Amino acid sequence: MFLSNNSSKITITNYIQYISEKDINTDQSSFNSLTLLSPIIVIITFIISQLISESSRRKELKRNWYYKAHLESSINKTEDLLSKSSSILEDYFTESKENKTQNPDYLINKALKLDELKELIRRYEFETINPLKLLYPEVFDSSITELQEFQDSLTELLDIKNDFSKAMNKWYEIKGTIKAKLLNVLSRPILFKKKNNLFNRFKVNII
Amino acid sequence: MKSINLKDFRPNSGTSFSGRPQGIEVRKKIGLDEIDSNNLEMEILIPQDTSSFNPSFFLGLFFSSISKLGVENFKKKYRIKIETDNSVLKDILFKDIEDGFRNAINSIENKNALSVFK
Repeated sequence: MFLSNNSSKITITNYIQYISEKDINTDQSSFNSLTLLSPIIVIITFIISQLISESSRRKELKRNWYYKAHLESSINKTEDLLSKSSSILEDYFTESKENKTQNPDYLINKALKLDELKELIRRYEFETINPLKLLYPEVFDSSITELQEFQDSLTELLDIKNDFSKAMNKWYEIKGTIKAKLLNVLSRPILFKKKNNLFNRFKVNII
Repeated sequence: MKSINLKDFRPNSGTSFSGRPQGIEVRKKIGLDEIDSNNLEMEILIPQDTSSFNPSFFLGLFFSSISKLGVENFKKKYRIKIETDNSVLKDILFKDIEDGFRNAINSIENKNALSVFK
């Protein structure tokens, strides 16, 4: 009986011991997995954050480069274009105002004045817009379109006869519009992100 | 060689040709799409009382033809003639036409460049 009792005791003890050991082993196994995973997770997180930092840094460098290499000088050249255009137009409309009789050379004078304005636009195109052709073809394309529309507006403007104030008011309107459009287009590489970006839904128009 | 005088198509009865939509409209009226496909050589006359032939109008009128034929073949097929005897005016309009060609070539090259990224 004793033996049998002892046997059962042993058996029970053994069983309890077995269960305990099993628990410990399971815990140890989980613990081992965790200790193996933790540094891996840390390393992966570190690598991802470094990649994100590097990407942000490159974008910032690219934006700064574009600003220094192109945008800063473009702003000055745009002002220059508009200021010189203003001078030419003021001269033209002043002369037109002073011509009280129909000038037989009206066509030639108009063509010459328009050509002076076109020369300014050509120079602006070659100096400011052409350098963007290779790296920023979309900005180049949009800028050229704006310049074409500017030229069309000037052509129409020079058709205004005998009304100096109307002509100059129209010019101020054209000037404001083209300045806004050109600066908007030229700023795109640094101010606006690419399409299909979540940020674009909340983008703010700077001008 | 057949001639087309653009005087009949000058927008707004002014002295200039401007605006891309206006150029496209004139292109349709003349039927340049069909003319591109035939073997005839054409003379395009810019009337003598023209003060400006803007690149926007040039592109509206000719860009499809230049795209289709290429610049060299376009120049062989279409001769653009400036009717005026006034050398000053002629120089100005000649520069306008050069602007038109330059803009057309830029557009074609840019389209090709952008397609690399599509």
